[in-house]
Amino acid sequence: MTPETVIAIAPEAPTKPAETPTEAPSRPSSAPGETDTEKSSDSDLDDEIQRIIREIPDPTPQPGGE
Amino acid sequence: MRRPVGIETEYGLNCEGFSATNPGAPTGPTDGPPGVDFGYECASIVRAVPFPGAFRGWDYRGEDPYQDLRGIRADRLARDPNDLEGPDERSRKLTRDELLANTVLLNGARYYNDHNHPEYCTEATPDLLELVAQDRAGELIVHASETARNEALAREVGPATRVRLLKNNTDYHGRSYGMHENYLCARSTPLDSLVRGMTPHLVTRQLYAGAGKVGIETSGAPIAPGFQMSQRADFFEERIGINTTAKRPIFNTRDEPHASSTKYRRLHCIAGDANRSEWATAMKVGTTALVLDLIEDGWKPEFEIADPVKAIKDISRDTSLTTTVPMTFGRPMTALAIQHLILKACQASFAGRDLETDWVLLQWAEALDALGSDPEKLATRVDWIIKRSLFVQIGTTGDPRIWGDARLRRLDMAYHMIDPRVSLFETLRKQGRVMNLVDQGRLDACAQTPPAGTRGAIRGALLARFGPQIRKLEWDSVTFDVGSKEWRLDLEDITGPVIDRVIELIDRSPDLTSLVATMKGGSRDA
Repeated sequence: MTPETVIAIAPEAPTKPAETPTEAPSRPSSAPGETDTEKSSDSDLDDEIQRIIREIPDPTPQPGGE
Repeated sequence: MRRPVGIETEYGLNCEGFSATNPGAPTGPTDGPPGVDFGYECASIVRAVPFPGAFRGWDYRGEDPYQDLRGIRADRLARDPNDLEGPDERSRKLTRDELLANTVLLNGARYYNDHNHPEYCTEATPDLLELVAQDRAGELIVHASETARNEALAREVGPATRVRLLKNNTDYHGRSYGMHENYLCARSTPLDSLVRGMTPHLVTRQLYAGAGKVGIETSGAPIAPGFQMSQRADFFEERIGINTTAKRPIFNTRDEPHASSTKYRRLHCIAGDANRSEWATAMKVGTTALVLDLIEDGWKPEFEIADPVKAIKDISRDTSLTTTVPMTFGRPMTALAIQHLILKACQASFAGRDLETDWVLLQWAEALDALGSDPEKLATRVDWIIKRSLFVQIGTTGDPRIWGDARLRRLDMAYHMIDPRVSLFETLRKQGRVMNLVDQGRLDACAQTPPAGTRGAIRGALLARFGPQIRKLEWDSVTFDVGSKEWRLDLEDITGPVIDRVIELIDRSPDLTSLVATMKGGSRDA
């Protein structure tokens, strides 16, 4: 069965400069997580790291990809 | 950006609790865990994705990985002689479609089994922040399928057998899988100009876009102690070439534009890391898109790295940033000096062009300044610096032996896990220690919604309206069953305002037959 192909018209080269994005990344502060969670204490992080170290096994071999 | 860009990410799969001696399919809990059949696991993970409305299948007619930008066609593609061969009793019983598990989501993304890794490909968009959001939405989607697969494994063989998915590029055993960026380029730009202009950037952008790695890898050899900027640098062997799974080149010449081949090329950029930091993803893509703009405008850098393959490794392995690399002409240069030259050229040409460009230029300049004075200033946004900063606190500061510590290698892997419960990066995010560009509401939306003004938006609209009638689908076409005929909507030249017009037609048409009739004005027989 030979498909019938429909092509929309008026291609516009994508290399034409885009118009100003409506939502450009706003300039972030150099402070971490400014818009997010308040930074927790170092001891909280240490506890989490120790938990992760206990829970995660060594890396297992995998096939190469791409 | 003045071009659509997409990101494809192959996720790693750390398989835990699988048997080394039982390759067969389990028939019940008493049979014990199966051996790791990566093809079967990968297909099962992808097919478990709990997103309704997805299309299963892919039209491969538009794909030809043997076609080379240099005007030749490869006879064969190189394979890694040290690649891992696992049992395949289970995957051999799958049909090709079941094994590849091609899935097209309502947000326009493709999710499938690529070389036994779950691969998530975003729709290409010229909006940088939208691209970052779509890439991050991929993490949510992939994690949802990871969860569903692990629930199934728990039922089949018990909770000790599970797969953890990683957004990274190495198994820490000498094998790599990819993160590729895809940039649409004008076909008229000479290939030599692209290679000459892109190579120094691809070699040095790891300064701020490297994902960091505990260890130094060589194919077929045990991992050596060390810490480096890049996950991928160890795996590049050639300056230019078409291969991707072995003999990896810094400049990849695969020629699949997924658009009109007479007008466009696709820069299939494989020399980069999968980032967890949203800022790093934005800068990796934003700076590279600007360099492409420069090249298309005629820029020819007066500097050239003499041996890019050696340089990408040397730079990655020196986190003091003092290593110099020989140049074809003149004195050796540091990666930082090369980046300053590239930034300066971009500033001269594009400063003030638009808000997005100015954001990239500003962040780029701030990052290079910080790298030259106090890299720790970037410990909330550059992945390799986030890691190093944390890991030297855990190990013994200043003692290079810490980089052979198995705990750090596990933590390094945990940084890249996408399960928030065990992911080190997600722990840092939760604790407000890394910079975010995208909020949760936008991420949730991106998991369901394609980027506006893209071909993915058309694909998503067609899936939502006429999904059951879609027969085949690929990046630049959708084929339907219409009565006794096949009808193919060709998207390869659909850009700009035409996209909104087509979506309007889709929304307005009461049924597919009406849509076909309305669009007949631009039809031709294939």
